Amino acid sequence: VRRRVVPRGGVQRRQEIWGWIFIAIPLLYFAAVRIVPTMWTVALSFRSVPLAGGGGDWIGFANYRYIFLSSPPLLMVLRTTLWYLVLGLPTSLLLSFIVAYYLDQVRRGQWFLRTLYFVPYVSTAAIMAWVWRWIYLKDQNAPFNAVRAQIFGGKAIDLFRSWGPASGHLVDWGRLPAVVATTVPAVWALIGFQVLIFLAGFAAIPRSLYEAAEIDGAGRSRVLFRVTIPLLRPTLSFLLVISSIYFIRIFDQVINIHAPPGEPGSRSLPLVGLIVDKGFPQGRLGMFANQGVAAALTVVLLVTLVVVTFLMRRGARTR
Amino acid sequence: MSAHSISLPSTRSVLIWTGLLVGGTIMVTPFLLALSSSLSANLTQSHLTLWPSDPTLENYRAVLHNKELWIWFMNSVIVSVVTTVSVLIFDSLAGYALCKLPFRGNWIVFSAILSTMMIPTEMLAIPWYRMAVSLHLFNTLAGIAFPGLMTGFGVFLMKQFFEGVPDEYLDAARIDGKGELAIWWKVAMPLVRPALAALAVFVFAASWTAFLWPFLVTDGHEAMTLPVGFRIFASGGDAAGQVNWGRVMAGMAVTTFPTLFVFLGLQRYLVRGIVLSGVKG
Repeated sequence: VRRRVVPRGGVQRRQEIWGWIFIAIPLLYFAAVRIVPTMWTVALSFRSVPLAGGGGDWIGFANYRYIFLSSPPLLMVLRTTLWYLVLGLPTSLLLSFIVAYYLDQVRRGQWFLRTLYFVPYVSTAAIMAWVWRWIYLKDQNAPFNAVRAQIFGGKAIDLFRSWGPASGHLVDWGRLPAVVATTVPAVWALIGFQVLIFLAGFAAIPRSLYEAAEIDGAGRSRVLFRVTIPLLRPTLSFLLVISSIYFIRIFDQVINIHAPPGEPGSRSLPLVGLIVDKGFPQGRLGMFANQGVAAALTVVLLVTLVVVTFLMRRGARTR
Repeated sequence: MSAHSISLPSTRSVLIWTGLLVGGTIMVTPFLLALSSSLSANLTQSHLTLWPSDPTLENYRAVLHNKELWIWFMNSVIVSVVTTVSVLIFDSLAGYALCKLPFRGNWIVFSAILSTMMIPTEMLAIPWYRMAVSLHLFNTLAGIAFPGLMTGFGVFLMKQFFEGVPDEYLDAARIDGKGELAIWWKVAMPLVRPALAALAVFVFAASWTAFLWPFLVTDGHEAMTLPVGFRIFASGGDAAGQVNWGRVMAGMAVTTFPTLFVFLGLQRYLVRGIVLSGVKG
């Protein structure tokens, strides 16, 4: 940040006053709508705050103890959230890298092809989730089941039903179909964004490096692994962070593919879904929700995001 | 691989083109499926078809006569326009002050505003909800819009762009006797028009597709935005409780495609905003 020295008096003094006048409204706004609410949430996480009114008592770490110890849902939900990340992140990055790698070599009609991949990203996830819901319907003629029947035969299946009791294992096989079916639209919507960022990354690589590699007689795959991918590290680091945050915060697709909220999709409920359930009348607890518990969950979300961002940055740097 | 062959495209480039076209077609398949089924009459869960046997525009007639859908559509337009205009004005006001009207402590103010970018919406939603209830903003468009009227990212973006505006221009205007407000609005703002365009498209798109907060702050039908209201529209069945999926798809097409085409047309600006920020919503 370039800082200008501010001398006292005269024109500069007048400008400084104008600076304060200009910043006054934005500063008040950011304080009232971002900064104070952040601290407010942290404070709420140490209190019991029933939605129906009353309460507000300081209860120390009881909310945290409750969400970690006496309430199995959090660990289940964290595991599900991890699954969205583990399934979605590599799949989306691999697909978008392949698409971008070849798109970069297309000279004619690149705009048209790029737009095809871009359309899902600019559509509204919450509305398109209803199209996906229809695609997955348990019906012989619904798109997913029709294709599945063509290949494997058999009766129509319901991806979102309970496939056996919930298990305590790291991989809950009964939950996997619903999680995968929800990850697909999320990946589908994200690819266009990732392709664009990759294309910008490819464009930033100096052509002279490719020419030098060509003169040295390096093959196409050698150039890819020795020149392109190492030089894409900043792009990759950025995408890893942004995409991880995207999958950890997944919600729009989940709630609309399994509406009414969480039923019967509770087994594909992500962290944000649990926050809504525990703290808002729109959730499954309705007016029995407790915003203190939800506040503690959002603190867990923030910590998760910070840790994952840190790990992704580090991972991309040292690889 | 040399690019000297102008006459005929190489086998490789034809293969790449074909491969990308196949992939791209898969990407738009959900839209194509939705469009084809929107032409089917009375498409309920029990009799679904991929291709309509006798196409009809009946679903579109029903959607166009659905008053609620249009209320939600207009609500989305109002919220998105107000948000965009507010962000453009106030974020550039703040960005301008932070780099062109330096005051003592401006670095601290900038850091504080920047740090708000790290906090996810979910974490702020509980205080926002309590504020909305106590200020009687629950179930109002004002309640949906107020958390998004300024963004840390926009302040950051505008500050970067204002740094490219030479101080001499501003000083010349001061010598001409122009006020500071006039200098910002009439001299500096026109010079950062590309940044304003990128920010505008970006903020409008984010606001248009926003779901979580509008969902949390409304429970009455009249104040919902489109992504939230669409749940009501799509899950509402007929007298027998059957969802008419053809009607749902027509509703999707009518409400989604207008803005989709606008966004695609403005892709250039959207891309710039995305590359500069990396976040949408």
